[in-house]
Amino acid sequence: MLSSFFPCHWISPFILSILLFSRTFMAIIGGVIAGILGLNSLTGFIFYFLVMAMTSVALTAKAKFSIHSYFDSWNRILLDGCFGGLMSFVLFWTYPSYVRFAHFPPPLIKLSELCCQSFQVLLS
Amino acid sequence: MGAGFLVGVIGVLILSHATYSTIQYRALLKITEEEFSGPPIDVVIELIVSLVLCLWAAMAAPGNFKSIHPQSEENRVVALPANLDFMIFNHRGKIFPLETELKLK
Amino acid sequence: MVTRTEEEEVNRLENQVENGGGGVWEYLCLVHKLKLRRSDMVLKHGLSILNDSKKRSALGPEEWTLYEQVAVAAMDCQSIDVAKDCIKVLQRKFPGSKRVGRLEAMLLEARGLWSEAENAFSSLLEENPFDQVVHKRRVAMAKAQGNTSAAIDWLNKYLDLFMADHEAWRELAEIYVSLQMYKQAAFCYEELILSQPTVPLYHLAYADVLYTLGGLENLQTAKKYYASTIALTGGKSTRALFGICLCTSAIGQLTKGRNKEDKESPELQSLSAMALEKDYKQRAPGKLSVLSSTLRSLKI
Repeated sequence: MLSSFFPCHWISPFILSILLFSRTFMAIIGGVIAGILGLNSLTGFIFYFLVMAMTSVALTAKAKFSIHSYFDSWNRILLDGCFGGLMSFVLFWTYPSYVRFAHFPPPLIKLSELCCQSFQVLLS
Repeated sequence: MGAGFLVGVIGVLILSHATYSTIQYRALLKITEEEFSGPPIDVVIELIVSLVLCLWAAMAAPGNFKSIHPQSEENRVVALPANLDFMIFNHRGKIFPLETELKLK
Repeated sequence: MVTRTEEEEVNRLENQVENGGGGVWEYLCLVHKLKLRRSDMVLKHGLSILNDSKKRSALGPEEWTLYEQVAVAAMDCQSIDVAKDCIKVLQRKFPGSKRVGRLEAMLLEARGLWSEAENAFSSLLEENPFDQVVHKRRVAMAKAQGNTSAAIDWLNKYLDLFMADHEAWRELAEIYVSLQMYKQAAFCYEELILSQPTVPLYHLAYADVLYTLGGLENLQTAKKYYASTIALTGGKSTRALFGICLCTSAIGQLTKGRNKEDKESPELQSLSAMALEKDYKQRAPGKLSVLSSTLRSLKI
């Protein structure tokens, strides 16, 4: 009732940074886990949204289930940072999946080959 | 902050151990020339444990939410600041001087 | 604005500092940030930092703001020598600075040399006509000399230039209240509520002024503002709860004999009386009988 009279819904950037931290961290961890499990294409994305749903539930629990005393809308806690976290997720998802092909991830092999080649060029 | 951060570090450590185990497992599969269908059960358990620990850390480490309502217990205004720009010096406190030994060296 | 969390933090730090538990610098920062007038503490503990060259140099550039803070506190405590020494240090560091010039003029003011201080402030204003602090010091000086009408003039002129300065509006309101010019004070409080609608203390002060003015319409408005104070403090404002009771009783006396159609929210006063009783029961059970006899005399 009060909220309709007073401009009190000012969310401090501090709270938003907390949300962003939680989301990004969980996206990274989820990405690594998806990579280790060897999930492919669609299953990986489904896994990501499962992890995000888990995070949302945990955030709601952290706000002691009274969302409106900490946030202006449910969107803040359910959606904010979900799609931004997708980038981090994809990065960490693809990286451990190199494990499938070699002991060394391919970029490292490429790098060492490149070093050898340039060394040979220099010597000749 | 401290406890949450520690839990996160433990979670990441378990996760890296799981990664290492998977690399070993895949190397083994390569030698025996079998298809990879999924990591072994102990790795899966490690993954679940680390996911739970990291979720805990993600909730505990970055700090607590603060109420946005002006009438909540922590936000409610209890006093106005002293209007320092308009402070006057010839008030009644003049009669009670402080200890005289205060001195800037 | 000092919120409850901040107040608790200040009290905790103050206890800690008084008992020699460290945290002096944090305490001084908090006092500076919240604009509290704890001059004796600032003087004593600020000097303890400034006199310790190791602690002082650990502050880095914050050292100089501490000198300024201590100088003003020293003037407030009439330790003119300390203030003079602090200003001298600042002068050596920042020759020709206007901020230091301001401090010097304030020192003249603290010593009671009104005409010299006035001259110093005028010359500062000539250099920079939009120096808000100097304008405000002139108001304070007029007030210190007991010349409230001049203070009001200065303040009105100042507010023509800087209308968004809520501290000046508050000062003007307080001066008007001290002169019993409640209509003008009410206007100032309206401005304050407009600029900072979530501060319950302005609602409370406005309601107080309106209640003092009297008259049916004012009383009804006062009741509304007491109610908004209660909403903004989460029901923790005893004064506002009493205000509701007093307003209801006064309105009841004014409208006696008339038809009761325009009686609004009759449950408001019984609720606030109940809240008061609950609060007293919890915090001062000995005074409960006094409270209930007061409420009975108000016919609630």
